[in-house]
Amino acid sequence: MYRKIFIFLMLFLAAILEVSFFPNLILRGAVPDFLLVIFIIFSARKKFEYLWAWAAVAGFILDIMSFSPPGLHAASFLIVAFGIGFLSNRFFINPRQEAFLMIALFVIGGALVNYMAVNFIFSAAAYFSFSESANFFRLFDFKNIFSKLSYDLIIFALFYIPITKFENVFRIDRGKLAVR
Amino acid sequence: MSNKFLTSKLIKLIFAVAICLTLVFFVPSKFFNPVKGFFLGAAYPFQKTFFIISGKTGNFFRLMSSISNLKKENERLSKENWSMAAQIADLADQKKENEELRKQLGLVPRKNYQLEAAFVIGRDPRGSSSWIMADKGKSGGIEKDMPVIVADGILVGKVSEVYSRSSKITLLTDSSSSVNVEDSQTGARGILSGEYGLGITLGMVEQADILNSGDDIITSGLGGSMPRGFLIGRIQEAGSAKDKLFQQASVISKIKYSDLNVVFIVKGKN
Repeated sequence: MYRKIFIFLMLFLAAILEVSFFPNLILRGAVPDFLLVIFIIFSARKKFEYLWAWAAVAGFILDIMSFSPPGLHAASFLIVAFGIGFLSNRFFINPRQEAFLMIALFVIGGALVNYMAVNFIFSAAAYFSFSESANFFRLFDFKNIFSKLSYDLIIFALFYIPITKFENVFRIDRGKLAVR
Repeated sequence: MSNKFLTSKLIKLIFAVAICLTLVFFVPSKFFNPVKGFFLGAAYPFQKTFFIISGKTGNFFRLMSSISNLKKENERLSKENWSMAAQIADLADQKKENEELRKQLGLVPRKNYQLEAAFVIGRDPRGSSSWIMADKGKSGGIEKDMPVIVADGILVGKVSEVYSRSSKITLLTDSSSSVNVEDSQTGARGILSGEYGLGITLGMVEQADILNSGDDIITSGLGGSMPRGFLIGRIQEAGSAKDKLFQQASVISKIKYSDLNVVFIVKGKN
């Protein structure tokens, strides 16, 4: 119970930072996907059966805090979580395998998928609701994507060790929930 | 074969994503307002603190990155300081002239309106400059659709959602923003709309009307939602719309929306 509350508070705080700290700090118009990176670090090596509920919760919190249509980031986070669960099944077979680089690749892939999914769904919602000229070509704003991925990797490098160290707090039974 | 493909995980994913997309496309956003109010109320003290810290941290990084230019900047500022000392004496006359011109152009005299100062405590994390979050809400007498200006009396947006201690301000650059405006020099009227956080466009201007580059755009007061006379920006380039029925023009705001830290919410007339 306490573990779940702690995880929820961690996700909530990450959402607050993404909306109120990073947009005022970051240059060149790109804001890191702080909540997504935290979620990917937390969810690497775990099964989708465990992740999907947290993906929906994390995405929903970000939707609320960023005034996005509820369900937008939740859908994207679910897709990212499925991808991570799928790839973890194939790459984390050996528990001693170097995880840092692998999870860094998850961060890059997850951020790209999240960026395109969010922009596509948002553009589709805009098209059907109020704008006939919804800009689907925002999917291909490469300058913004490159800046965003760079910031995401920096966030990952800074928070990977603290979060993995704190995994004991979650008291997750790796035998039950981890990928074999 | 098909059973192998449709695993329980995939079915769970499809089901969950379908629910999320149903919420996005079919459920109105205001349905979740009580939940938003709760979360935003809980987040309010943290948001304000983090935004102030990030402002100071951001300034530090910007300072570090500009160290090489500091010497030149210092020399330039010293020269500017001397010339500004001489200009101070002229400012009293210019202020009088400014007030007279504002009266002639029909711009809003700022003293006539009751303004509520608000700090910005959040921005669109997608970096699109579509909205900002202010630290005033229902408890401060803020209501939906109140215009929002900056210190110079320039309109930047309007209040779109109000919570107990904070409110969301939709900027003019947001694609859902729509304001009735007119050219202050020629009187041409049209509708100002946002372009996905990237800029603002004046459209639906009749072909018979005149739009000149450099003309100031102000609110026209039509429709009653926005008082007349708030300055918005200047026409950059005018031309015909794609359908050739109307004219349109790109408008440059005098304000850089990513630099907004303090705004004033127009609560009503004095």
